[in-house]
Amino acid sequence: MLKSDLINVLVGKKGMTQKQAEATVETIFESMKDALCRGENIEIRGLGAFHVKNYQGYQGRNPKTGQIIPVKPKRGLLFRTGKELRDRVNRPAPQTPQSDISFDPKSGNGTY
Amino acid sequence: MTKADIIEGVYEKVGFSKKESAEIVELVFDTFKETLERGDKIKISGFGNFQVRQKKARVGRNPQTGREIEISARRVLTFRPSAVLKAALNGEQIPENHSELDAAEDAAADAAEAAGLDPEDLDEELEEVEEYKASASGMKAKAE
Repeated sequence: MLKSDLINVLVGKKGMTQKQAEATVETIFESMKDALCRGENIEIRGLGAFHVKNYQGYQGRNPKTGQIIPVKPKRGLLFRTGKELRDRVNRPAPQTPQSDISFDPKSGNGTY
Repeated sequence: MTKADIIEGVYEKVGFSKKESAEIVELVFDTFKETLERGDKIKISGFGNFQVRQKKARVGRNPQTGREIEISARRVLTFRPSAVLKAALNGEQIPENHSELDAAEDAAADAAEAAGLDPEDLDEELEEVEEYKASASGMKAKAE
């Protein structure tokens, strides 16, 4: 699934325009990116948590030549899967229709 | 940051009502979960990739008792931040070849997995991309 597929889901299930869906998806990931860049962690219940980790610099080595290279301190990103998703990924539920989130064109709701 | 802050952002920037914004954000993350549950990858350009990986059974240890226990084979979710996000986190310029860098990392992770190494364990235990890459290429060299 790509960003464009996610946009299509919003258009299909929420009746948004293509433009609105693009702006929405862009806003969601930009705001997450901005928070992480501020050094903030993100916790999405059921999905997982993103944790910004500060690494200290160290003396690294070029594995081919053995030459010592200083590695600068930096920030990395760790993701820990939330419990619900961890269980669902590992033990997928039998494919039963989930009416609460599947798109039903006849229901007529969900159009903005 | 929590889901509430993300909803607030959609409300302020895109102009949906609070209720609509909440439903939209809920739908995005529900779609995430359904996609991953099916075992499909999610690639968000400029952010990162979510991928389900199959892990073999291995022997672990109860850190409290020191007793060996078998950790069963399982499917786990891994997330790899894109080169763009990593650069942004460090206040660096976005590398021009960022898509190649992402592809190379994905390939290294796949190679490590194929060689019987666990890419996720490497991430956690070594906690350094450079060291990780070094061992992945070492594994490749050994395999050749």
